[in-house]
Amino acid sequence: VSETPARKVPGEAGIWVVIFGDLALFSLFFLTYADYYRHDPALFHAGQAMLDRGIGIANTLLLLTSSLFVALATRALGRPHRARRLFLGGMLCGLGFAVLKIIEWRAKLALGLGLSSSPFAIFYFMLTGIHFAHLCIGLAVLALVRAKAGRIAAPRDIALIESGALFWHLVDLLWVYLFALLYLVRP
Amino acid sequence: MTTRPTVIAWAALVALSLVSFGWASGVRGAATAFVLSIAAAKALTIGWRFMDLSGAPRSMQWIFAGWALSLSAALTVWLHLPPSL
Repeated sequence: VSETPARKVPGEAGIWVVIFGDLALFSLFFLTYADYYRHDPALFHAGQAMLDRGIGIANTLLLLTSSLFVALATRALGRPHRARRLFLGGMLCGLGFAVLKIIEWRAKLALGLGLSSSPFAIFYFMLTGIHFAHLCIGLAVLALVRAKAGRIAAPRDIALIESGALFWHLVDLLWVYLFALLYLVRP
Repeated sequence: MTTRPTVIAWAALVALSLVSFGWASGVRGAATAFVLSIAAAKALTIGWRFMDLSGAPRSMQWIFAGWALSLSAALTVWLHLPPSL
């Protein structure tokens, strides 16, 4: 008789409450953005035209690569030095994203696209700002997780490291929709 | 645990991102549906391969897949509703 492997919740169960809660909240933001978009498409097209798609795709590739490093790190926990190097790679890609985002914000502000300039600008700064806050928290979590990866003493430590990695993947996941909605779609 | 499926998933995610980036300047209506479909495919790949949902309980898989697919579908429909509605 062949046995099917037991199914397991990755990380701590509590992190999934955070993840699904965040996904639900951001989904509401995205649908609200879509509703404003369809009521004034010309204004939103003009706002999108001010964004730099090159920075958008570069940030997408940085976050995807960062997630790759973090996913590989969680699979290499039996080799602490390798796991720590991979977590560091993930953090550096995340820092690269942060630097590019700040450069983009500064350029938009210099062009006159401020928080009060249009509904598109409000959505752009609000959504990317909240995502940026998630990114900063994620970087701090990755730093803690990286330290933990060097001294795993109990199975719970592995679950904590996996939970930190899951939060980082959430940051990537949210950016997938932000990039599509803010930079790419033009109904 | 082998790392090859994770690296393949990353390569697929990069390819999907570049394709959707290229398509975004195409025909507007079709491009929106296409870009949001790709977003759903990317979300599912991140969930399955990076977040390890492939080995998670079925209920979690259904919730996650339901979220990714329904969000993309809802956004596509919503963005194409006439402003008068």
